[in-house]
Amino acid sequence: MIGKGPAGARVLDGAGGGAAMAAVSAATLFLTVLAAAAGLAALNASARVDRRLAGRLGIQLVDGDPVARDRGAAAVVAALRAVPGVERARAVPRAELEQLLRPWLGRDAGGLPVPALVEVELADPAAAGPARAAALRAAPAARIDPQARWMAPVSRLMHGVAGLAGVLVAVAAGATLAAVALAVRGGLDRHRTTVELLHLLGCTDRQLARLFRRRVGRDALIGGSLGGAAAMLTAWMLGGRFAGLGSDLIGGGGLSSGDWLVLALLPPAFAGAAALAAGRAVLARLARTL
Amino acid sequence: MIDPGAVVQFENVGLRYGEAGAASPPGEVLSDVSFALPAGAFRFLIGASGAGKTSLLRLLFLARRPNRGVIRLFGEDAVTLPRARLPALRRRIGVVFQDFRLVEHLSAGDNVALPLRVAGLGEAEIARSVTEMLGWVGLADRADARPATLSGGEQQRVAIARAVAARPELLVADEPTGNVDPDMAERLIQLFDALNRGGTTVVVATHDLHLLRRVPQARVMRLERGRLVDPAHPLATTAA
Repeated sequence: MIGKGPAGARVLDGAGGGAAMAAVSAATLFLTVLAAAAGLAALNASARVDRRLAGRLGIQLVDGDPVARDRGAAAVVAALRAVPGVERARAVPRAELEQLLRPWLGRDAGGLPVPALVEVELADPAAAGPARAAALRAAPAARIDPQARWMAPVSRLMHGVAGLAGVLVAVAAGATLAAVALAVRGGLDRHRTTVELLHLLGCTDRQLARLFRRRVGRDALIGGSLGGAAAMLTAWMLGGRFAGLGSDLIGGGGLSSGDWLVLALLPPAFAGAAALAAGRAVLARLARTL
Repeated sequence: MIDPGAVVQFENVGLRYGEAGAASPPGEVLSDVSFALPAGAFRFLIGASGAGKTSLLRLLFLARRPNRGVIRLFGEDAVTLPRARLPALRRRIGVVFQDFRLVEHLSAGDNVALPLRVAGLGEAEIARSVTEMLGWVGLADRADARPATLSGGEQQRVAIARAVAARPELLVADEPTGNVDPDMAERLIQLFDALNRGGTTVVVATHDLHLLRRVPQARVMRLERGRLVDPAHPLATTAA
């Protein structure tokens, strides 16, 4: 049947245009898959940061007397360790604190009254409330900072990047479908005599639309798969480079196997959408003929 | 008046292309054309260039609708028939175009197979029919040849094989012998004659009056400046 099987599909061979469709699909899918990979990586990094910071508290004890300050820190650590859901609580050693502050205070910060700092990691974010209460019971003047609060702008930024990637994917999809509409218009013009002949032989609009759907879908799938594969290879190589930076934030933006599956499904999804758009464009155009 | 036995019936049909034309009424290339073709009829359509032969054939094979009048094909009103129902009607009509209209990138066999594929036949049945049709027109050994490698006569025979491959009830041919030598023209007319004797209604537009006597059962329809002046003239009285 026309539009089904390789013999019927050959009817639209010979007038060219397929290579252009494949090239456009390759270019748009390269950009789309790369944008999607960036978006997914940003989402993963954001989720990782959120997950890690959601279970962390920083507790400061400000006291001019270093002995009282250290005693208070020890009491807080002891109290926190008794709270269910607290995975780890430790007083940050003074040397480590000085190391942290050295970029701002210089090497001679040893004499300054630096607050004691207690780091808390929660196995369950729901333990934050009891941990906060326990810390305040042990040291009523303690200042408790959920680390998620000061990392919130970073998290928002990462979500913004993911959203932007989503917009790029949508724009690329729109561009692909517009290119398909143009390609179909050109294809109908190139194949005008063949289309007219098939009509006179009794071909229905649906049969002709099926022919174009198959042709456009095939070209879009070939081009899109090549572009998508190139983008996935690029994303994989870039992912390796970012992981090599050792950054907790950037290195956490790797792609899961589910993410790779989503990326791999983009070219066939786009090809399917292109084929459907082609079919609709052909039907709309043929509806204006006898 | 509806003739229930007619495969084709035209009543006061008028056709106008845009605003051009010098026929009467002003602008019409076909005016008040009325005739009926019973099943199994053979008609030669003759007339000078520009008389409206091709226009009449285009109405017959549903490439256009008339501006006025009634056209009934196989009992259906082809003027008001919904567009979606035209393909089914077209599949009952075989067309041999003046310019062949072979698809250049398809082989002779694939060209002949087109109406069969449109009709949704299986590949085995298509292959059998194509072999039979190409053998019938004497081109069994050229099934894989592209049209560009075929002579004018061979291309015309491929076009005829394509037109009859789906066993149409009505065969319409526009100057089918216009591009071939006299011997080939005679062979082609013999093909149409054989088809007609098998029950197919045949309408052949031609300039070549010598061919008319090759089909004794045929009658002649003569068009003059868009008007059918003789809807079923017996061949015995037609100049050849």
